[in-house]
Amino acid sequence: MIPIYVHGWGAVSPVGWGITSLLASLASDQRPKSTPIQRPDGFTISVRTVPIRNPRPSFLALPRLRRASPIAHYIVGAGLEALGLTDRPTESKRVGVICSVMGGSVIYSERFYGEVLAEPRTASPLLFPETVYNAPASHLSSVLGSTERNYTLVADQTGFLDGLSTAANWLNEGLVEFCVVSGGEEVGWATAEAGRLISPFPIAEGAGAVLLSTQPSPVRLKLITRAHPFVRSKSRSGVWSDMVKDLLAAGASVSDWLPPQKPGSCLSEGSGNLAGFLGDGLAAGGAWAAAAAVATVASGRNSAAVGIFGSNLQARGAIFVRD
Amino acid sequence: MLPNHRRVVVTGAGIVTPLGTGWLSNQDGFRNGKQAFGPVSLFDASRQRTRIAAEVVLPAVPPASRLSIREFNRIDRAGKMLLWAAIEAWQQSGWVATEEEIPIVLGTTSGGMTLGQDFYRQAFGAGLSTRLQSTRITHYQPQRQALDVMDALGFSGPVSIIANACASGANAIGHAFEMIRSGQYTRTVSGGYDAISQLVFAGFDSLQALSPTGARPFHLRRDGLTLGEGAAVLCLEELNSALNRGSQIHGEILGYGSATDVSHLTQPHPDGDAALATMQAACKMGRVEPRDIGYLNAHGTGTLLNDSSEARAIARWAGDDARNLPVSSTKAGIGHLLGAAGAIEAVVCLMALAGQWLPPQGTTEEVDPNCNFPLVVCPQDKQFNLALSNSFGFGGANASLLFGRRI
Repeated sequence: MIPIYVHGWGAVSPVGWGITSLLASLASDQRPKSTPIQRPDGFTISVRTVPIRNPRPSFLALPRLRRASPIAHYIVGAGLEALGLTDRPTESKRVGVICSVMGGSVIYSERFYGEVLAEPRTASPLLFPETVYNAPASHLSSVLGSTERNYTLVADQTGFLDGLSTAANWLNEGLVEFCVVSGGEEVGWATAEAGRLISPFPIAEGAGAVLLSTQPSPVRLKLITRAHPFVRSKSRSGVWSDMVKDLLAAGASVSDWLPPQKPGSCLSEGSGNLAGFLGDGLAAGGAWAAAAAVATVASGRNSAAVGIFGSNLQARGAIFVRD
Repeated sequence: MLPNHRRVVVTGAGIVTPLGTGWLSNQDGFRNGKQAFGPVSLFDASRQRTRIAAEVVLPAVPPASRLSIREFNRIDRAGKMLLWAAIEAWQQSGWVATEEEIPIVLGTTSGGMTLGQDFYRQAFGAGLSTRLQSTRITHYQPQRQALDVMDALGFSGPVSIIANACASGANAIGHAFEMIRSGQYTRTVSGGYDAISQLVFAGFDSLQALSPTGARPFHLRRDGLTLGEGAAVLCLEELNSALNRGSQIHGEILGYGSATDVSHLTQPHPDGDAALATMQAACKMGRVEPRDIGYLNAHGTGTLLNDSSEARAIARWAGDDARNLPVSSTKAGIGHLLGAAGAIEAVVCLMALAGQWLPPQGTTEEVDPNCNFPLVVCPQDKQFNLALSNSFGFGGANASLLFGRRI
């Protein structure tokens, strides 16, 4: 396998737009405030939402993003940050795109299905295309002007690491020159209701992204562990400890992670449990953990490991090192 | 092919469509160009502009597997179709429960959407009642359906769910193919599945993309697509592994191309730029030329924009050789199966290659003048060795798969 390097990282989270906001918030232990979201019957649920960015990013004025759902804004925002861009690329690169989602474009789905139940003949044709899982990834490729491969992966919080693995294969085979891997979510009332029932953390929204290439850079993706799926022949705690053993065998110092984690935990060496801090960002949670790990390595740490105990698919980890 | 690239064959193929459950009933249906359209019965479509679709009739008795009846009954309609297809493919391949890591790669657009709809309606209308809601959340998600397949068949490995709209099934097979080709794994399970749901049906209806009369791909006066549902699963295996086992081989996957059309979220580029790129990439990987292809299973949805764009892409790709390239869209018989489409059409290509016949589409009497290729409109036999299958979707997801006749 050819070495895979990290060339950029980005994050949009409940503590603000940009990886700097995330790192500063982690360093100062300033947790985001919860905000209430209302179910149709008026019952409120606490969630962690992304603050409105002021001034409004210029890329949101692009035609493809004017009607897009917030998840697309977050994924494009994190992706452009990882690419070191504020708007669109000035040079042509063969950039593949991989996005992982768990809930996906839920806000427009809620609105559209509500309209269908009320009167299907007048349900908005503008909403439906944005409900499709791969709409945010498509918008990112469109903003980049890249016709290269584009995958949307549906998974739990571990999906971002699956995306890194797929990107590494694409790069290894020479199918793309760069690959931006992103994970994102948005919070609607139905997601909040689902989170209330299945997650120990408040549901959060946003996105994280990293840019990979085979071209050398100071941060290298050393390892992505095997996937450890929650098949019924394995206990959840056994799955977690198997994944941690993989990380330890590869040289990570994560022995204090051995106790079984809560579903949705996204641990990042140097940053702790991001789900406990930011909220359960679902697919975005895994992306935040990886982006935070990469950023800490880039700022001087020799290595950082990420361990994710997903909600309903698997446990998986990764190690980033300074070269 | 790089020196370390391995050859990948299909040793098992399971299929569930509106034409039936299983290889044999579907083979008969596709070979004879049967149609399976009828009134929508799965939900109240009386207030929709269009009221027809191609629905699957699932067997009344659950398939034999490691799942209990209770576990099987908890699975939604899409997951059940997936399981039927996976079990057939697994049995054909002769694989047994194993400790070996076998990846599963599935394509879908909506997973267990019917459960999601149930969740929404209860949350919307039933106050704080949470009865069954946790189960719906868990089983609504496609990763749970993939784990169900693993539990049913007794294997484990990485799970990848590719949701690239209507190219999902083809992308899933292509991804699984690349996992073996690159030497990472010896075997993979891959495919696509989707069930008709009210949300998705109403979505296509809102776009006025559904035909009120039934899909007529490449017809001069086509008026939209018809939705269908189903699942197809392929067991892929490295060639030498299959030969050493003495396994049956349905065919070989020779190439895969994937590209993105960034011109519009829901409309293809009029000249089919990304479609052209995927066909070229699949053929380049397989080291074949357009003139070598004996049959092309088109994406051919029956919408005005898709079919004209795809026809132009085929003309650009094959040039004068297109005049000798038989093309058909099997969506004329079973509708558009969305995330399952690419996987179903992969199985159709394998059936056609194995039986040396071409799948007809009997609904196109007046052909769009953009088509410079012969449309297969009647059942016919043909000797050929290579088939190409196109799948295109919302978001500009485009994929092509190249299949070779069994060795």
